[in-house]
Amino acid sequence: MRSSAVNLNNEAGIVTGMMLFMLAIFTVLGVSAIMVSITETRLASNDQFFKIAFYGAEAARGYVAPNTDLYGADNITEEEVLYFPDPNDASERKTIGSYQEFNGEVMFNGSSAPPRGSGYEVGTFRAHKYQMTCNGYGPRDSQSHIEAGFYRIGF
Amino acid sequence: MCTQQMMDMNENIGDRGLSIIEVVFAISIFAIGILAVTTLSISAVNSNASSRRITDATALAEDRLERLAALPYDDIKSPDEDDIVGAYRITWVVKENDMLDKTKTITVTVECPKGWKNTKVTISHLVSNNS
Repeated sequence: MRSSAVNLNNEAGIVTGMMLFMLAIFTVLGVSAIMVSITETRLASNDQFFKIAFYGAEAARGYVAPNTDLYGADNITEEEVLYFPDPNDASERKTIGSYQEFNGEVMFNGSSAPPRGSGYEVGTFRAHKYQMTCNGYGPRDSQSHIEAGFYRIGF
Repeated sequence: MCTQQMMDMNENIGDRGLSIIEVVFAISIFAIGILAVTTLSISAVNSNASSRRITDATALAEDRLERLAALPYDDIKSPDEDDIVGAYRITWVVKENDMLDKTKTITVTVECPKGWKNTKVTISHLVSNNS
């Protein structure tokens, strides 16, 4: 009888147990908060890196327009490409800012009559069609690609 | 005094003070644990704030870059003074014919000196006269 009475009133260790239980709950909450913040940081960084890469590709687009050699007499063989910045090396990149680079290619897609409304007389002028593929590179292997078509009016 | 009575007395004396020792012990463990969890939470909050600043700074840099690229070619210039938007300082540098003739290289930098870590986002763009 005596020993069962002692067992009923035995609360020794309950405080430590409760504390450890609460600590475990707080630890789970803290670790969850850290996991969420790591995801947030990755989201923000990836967004930043993608935009850096995207503007690298946009810069490549700006690089092609004044570089008339890329879509001039050297590039009039159909389905053939000219690389930039180095015409002979497709992997060569041009650095524009810190961690920001670009390269790309311009492909000749054949000729046709000038587009309607362009103001150039059909029969006299021809539209030489090109396609540029612009690659932008940012930090941590982030990449962006832009493809755009354009034409050059010639004879 | 019989043997049973002596045993009861010894048990009563032996239990005294055990509860307070247990509580002190438990509070000590809890305090150490909660300190670690608090540090974890503070660093999570700081990290979230830093992420928000990076996102804001990137959006501001993109916005400024687009505004500059939309200007007529001759109007794209370096500013006389930095632009302050809230806690962010926006600066940009325009270099003419730097990479290629008839092009301007625009480099926009957005900085936020607030917080535990300086946030800095730099994006460059190349605009040509006929693009």
